[in-house]
Amino acid sequence: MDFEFLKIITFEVKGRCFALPSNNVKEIIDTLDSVKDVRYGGDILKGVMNFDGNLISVLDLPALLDMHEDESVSMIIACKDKDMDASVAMLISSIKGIETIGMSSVTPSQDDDVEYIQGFLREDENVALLDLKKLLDYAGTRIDSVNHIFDVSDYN
Amino acid sequence: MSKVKPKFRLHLEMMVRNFYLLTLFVAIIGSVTYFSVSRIWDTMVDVQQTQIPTLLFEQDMEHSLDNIKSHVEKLGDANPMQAAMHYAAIEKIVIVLDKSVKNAINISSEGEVPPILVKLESDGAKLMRALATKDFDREDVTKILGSVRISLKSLQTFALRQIDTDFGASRAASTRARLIVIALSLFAIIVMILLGIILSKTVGKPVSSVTEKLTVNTMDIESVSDEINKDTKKQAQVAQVATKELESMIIDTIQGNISMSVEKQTEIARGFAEFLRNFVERTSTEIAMGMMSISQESGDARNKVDDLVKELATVGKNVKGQETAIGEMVKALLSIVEANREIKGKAQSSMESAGRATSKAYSGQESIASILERLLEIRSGSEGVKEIADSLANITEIIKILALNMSLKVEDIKDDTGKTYGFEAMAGKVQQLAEEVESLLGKSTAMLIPTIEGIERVTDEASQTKDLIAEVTMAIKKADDESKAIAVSIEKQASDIDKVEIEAENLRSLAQKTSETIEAQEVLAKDVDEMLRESETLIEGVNSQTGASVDGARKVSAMMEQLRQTMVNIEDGTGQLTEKSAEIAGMFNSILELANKSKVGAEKLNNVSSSVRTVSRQLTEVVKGSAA
Repeated sequence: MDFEFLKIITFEVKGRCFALPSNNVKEIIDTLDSVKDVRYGGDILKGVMNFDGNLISVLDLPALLDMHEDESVSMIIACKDKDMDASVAMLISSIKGIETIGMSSVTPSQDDDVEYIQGFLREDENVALLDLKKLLDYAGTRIDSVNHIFDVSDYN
Repeated sequence: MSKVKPKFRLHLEMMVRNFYLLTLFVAIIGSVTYFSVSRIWDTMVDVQQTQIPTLLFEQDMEHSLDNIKSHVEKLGDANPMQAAMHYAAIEKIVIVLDKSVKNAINISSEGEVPPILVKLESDGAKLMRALATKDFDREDVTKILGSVRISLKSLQTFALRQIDTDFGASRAASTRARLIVIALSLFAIIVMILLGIILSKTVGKPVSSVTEKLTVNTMDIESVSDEINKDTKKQAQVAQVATKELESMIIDTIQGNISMSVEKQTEIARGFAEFLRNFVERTSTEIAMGMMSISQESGDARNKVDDLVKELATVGKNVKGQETAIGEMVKALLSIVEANREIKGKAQSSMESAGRATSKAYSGQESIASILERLLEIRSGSEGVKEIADSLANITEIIKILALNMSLKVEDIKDDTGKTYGFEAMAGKVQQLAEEVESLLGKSTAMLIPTIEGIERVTDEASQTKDLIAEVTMAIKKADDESKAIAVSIEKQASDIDKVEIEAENLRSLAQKTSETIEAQEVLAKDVDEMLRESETLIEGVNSQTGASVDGARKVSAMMEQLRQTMVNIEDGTGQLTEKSAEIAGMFNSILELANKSKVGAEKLNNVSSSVRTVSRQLTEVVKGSAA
């Protein structure tokens, strides 16, 4: 994080507040109609959708973050990691807004096991600033562990 | 009768004492026998309780010593295990030996412990000390066993000697007792024989001579008593005859001449006096009784009349009271009629008011229904407004997201080309617009929601009011019906009260007439009372006249009484004469009694002499053995 200021998108997932840098967010979609279910996707891979002519995966962010509250999710946040050139959509509960923050207000995360959280923005709200690349790696690891039986190389 | 010598009586007593002596000898013999037997028994018990158990303990101890010796001898050739067994056996035997020694000592502990037992105890203790440890010297133990055995032998000898001594003492005691019993028995027999010989020689002759004399004397007594009996009988007969003759003579004299004439006069006077008195008393009594009954009856009648007058007065008062009560009752009824009329008027007005209220309630209910319809329309309209507000909120949310997406697109474009081409400002304005719409929506929602809720509350309350008015209308209608029923019942009560009023008036006039009748009766009763008082006065006058006639009769009766008294005096005189003769007769009777008593005494004397003769005859038979 070399920037002095950072524009972020804050959103809620089952009562908890998260944020992503705005350059990682492409679009906010307020309906789940465009999501097509994928069989044998497990809990984390909700489905796929067409985003700007590309087929991208839709991840169940509450399941990925092990949040099992009964609150429903009804919005999709489409994200893209420019370094990886990977796009992915994630299910969220609601959008709170867009704001610009100073990097000095970010408190780095102390938990080394949760690498996808860069830090926390406000102590009272406890808004977690997510690292999209590490979140996607974590998601890949989780998905692979569930779906390894479908690895074709095993049958070679 | 000659005097009996004291010696005669003394010898008889000696004969009685002879039997006591015999009893004494028997008691002495029994005591000697008892003490001897007791001594022998004590000796046997001592042998049984002391010497024999001592011998038994001595045997047990010898047996124990033999066992200890055999085990000690076997220890020489025994292996360790066998040695342990022998040591255990020796230990047990030592305990038994110690117990036997102590028992032997306890048995003889009543008196002084014999020295032999003391030595045995010390030897036993020495042996136990020697056997206390397992590595004892066998030779030492054998020596100690030998000395203990010697002590046991001495104890045995001691016990046997003791038994022999005890038996010897018993033998001597029994021999002594035997000799004493034999000596005492022989002595008793000899004494009895000698006493018998002596008594038969020294007592027999004097007793027989004395009894002969006694028999002769009793025969003399019998003859004398017979003569006395005969004389007394003659006296009694003579006195009896004399008294009878004298009595009959006096009675004839008195009864024959004097008493008859006197009796006759007395009878005559008595009869006349009786007749006169009865006549006077009867007539005066009859008159007085008649007057008394009349007076009593007039008194009763007057009392009854008084009671009647009082009752009439009470009835008059009661009737007057009832008349007053009836008058008040009539007044109360009239007031009730008046009140009923007022109630009837009020019931009528309340009926009219209830009718008006019912009609107004119905009209109110209709207006409330129309109000409720309008409120429901307003409520449905407010629900539409609420839907519109919700739609606006959704639109606002969409606009907000759209603005966000525009910002994100602008960012993309900026990243790609470095320019925003005015989209950033547009996105900002859209964002601003979305925020303003959101705030306006929030304000309108804040205003609408209370209004809608208020309309809902009003609608609910209007509905409840409609229901309430319907209930009130029903209640008013019911009250109207009930007030009509009350009016009808009041009408009926008024007619009943009219009838009661008429009856009350009739009753009051009747009470008044009754009062007048009672007053007339009171006047009549007073007249009757006056008449009864006059009759009482007449009766009192008659009573006084009959009293004077009664006094005259009493005087005649007194004269007759005096006549009778003179006759009584004459009777008394003749009575005294009769008494005197009776007294003389009594004297003769007493003579006769005395003669009878002397006769009885002679009979008793005769009986006594015959019993003395019988006793002397029996005494002679006892001494001589034949009839005197």
